[in-house]
Amino acid sequence: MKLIEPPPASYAFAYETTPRSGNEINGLGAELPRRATPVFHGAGRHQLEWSALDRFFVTINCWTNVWHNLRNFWHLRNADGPIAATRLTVDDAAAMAADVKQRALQSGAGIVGITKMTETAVLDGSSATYRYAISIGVPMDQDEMRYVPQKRAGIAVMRSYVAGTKAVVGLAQHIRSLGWPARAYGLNCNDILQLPLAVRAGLGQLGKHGSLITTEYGSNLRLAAVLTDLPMAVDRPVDLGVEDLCTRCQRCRIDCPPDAIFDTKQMVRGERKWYVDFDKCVPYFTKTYGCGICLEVCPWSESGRGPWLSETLLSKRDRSAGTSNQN
Amino acid sequence: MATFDEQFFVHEASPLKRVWRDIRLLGFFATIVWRWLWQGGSVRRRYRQAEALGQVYYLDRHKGVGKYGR
Repeated sequence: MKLIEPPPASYAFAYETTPRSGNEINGLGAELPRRATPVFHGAGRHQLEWSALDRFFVTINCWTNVWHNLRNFWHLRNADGPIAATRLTVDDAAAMAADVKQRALQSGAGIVGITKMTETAVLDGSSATYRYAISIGVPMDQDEMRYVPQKRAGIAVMRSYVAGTKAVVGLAQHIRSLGWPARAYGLNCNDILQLPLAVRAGLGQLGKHGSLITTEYGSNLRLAAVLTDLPMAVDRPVDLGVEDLCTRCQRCRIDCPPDAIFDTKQMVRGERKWYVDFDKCVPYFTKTYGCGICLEVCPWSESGRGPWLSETLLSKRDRSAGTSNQN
Repeated sequence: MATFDEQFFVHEASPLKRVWRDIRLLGFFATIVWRWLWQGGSVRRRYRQAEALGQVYYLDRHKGVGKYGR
């Protein structure tokens, strides 16, 4: 995708007292597994290390996005709530999963998957004691996302976030009406990490740019989730061939103005994975009202290309595996 | 400071509690809008000035306006 010339990675804002590195807080280079720590976006009692930049991001953002934020909060008021006194007995977990997915798709989700909830998806200092996670992806308007890294694209991002929140809040309300606890997590819910849940639920794979890659929408989507105890059949992580391409592809690295994308996987909290340099990315993200260049230049994000790309990469891998077996 | 969840989630099936919650939430919105316009206007003006003059706007000198109205 040909993008508008992005502004340079120079800033008319700075910290007088430099905060602790976001990479250090995120556990870059840390060999021991641990839960992630909130650092930038956050709510509640605690001031985060990079809260001043987060506040500045919201303050310089346009009125339309403030409005979308308020809409999001309006939906979020029902993210949790009363549970019906009579509990529906679930005999067929697969049928229940299919029903939940159908409802999610009808509510505005583009893709949906289910996984077992894991401690590693809960941020340090938060708790979420549910058994299952329903992860949904809401596509962004690709015509509007061509305008990254401008306000116009930032508004399209917010619209998708609000659509995601609305979808998961509706789904959580439905599950609670069946007598099972359920809590929706959308924009401004900073207790859980959406990305690992989406990967485990089979929505896609983590890409070099640190975001989800799906066959349906590439990286052109936003995530939301419902955590619940409703028994459902779970999905498995998928292999789309993302690793095969990301290892060699340089597109997001080249197009990232602050040069925040690493060429190789990094050790982060005991796991070797793709990681984006927080300290370089977030100031540019703030300056450009949400950036998103890496998402849009990703080859997977080109409309309709994902299934073909996945099929090609996987068959190529099979062929090369066959050749090496013959040798 | 109480979180959004603590302030605005209603766990009882009480229509009255929900209406009262919605009223409080609208008040919360009014605070956000007011601060974005008033304090935020000042932050945006000073940032634009710094940008135009090639100076630096220091984030930790000013409080700014968060999405939680703080």
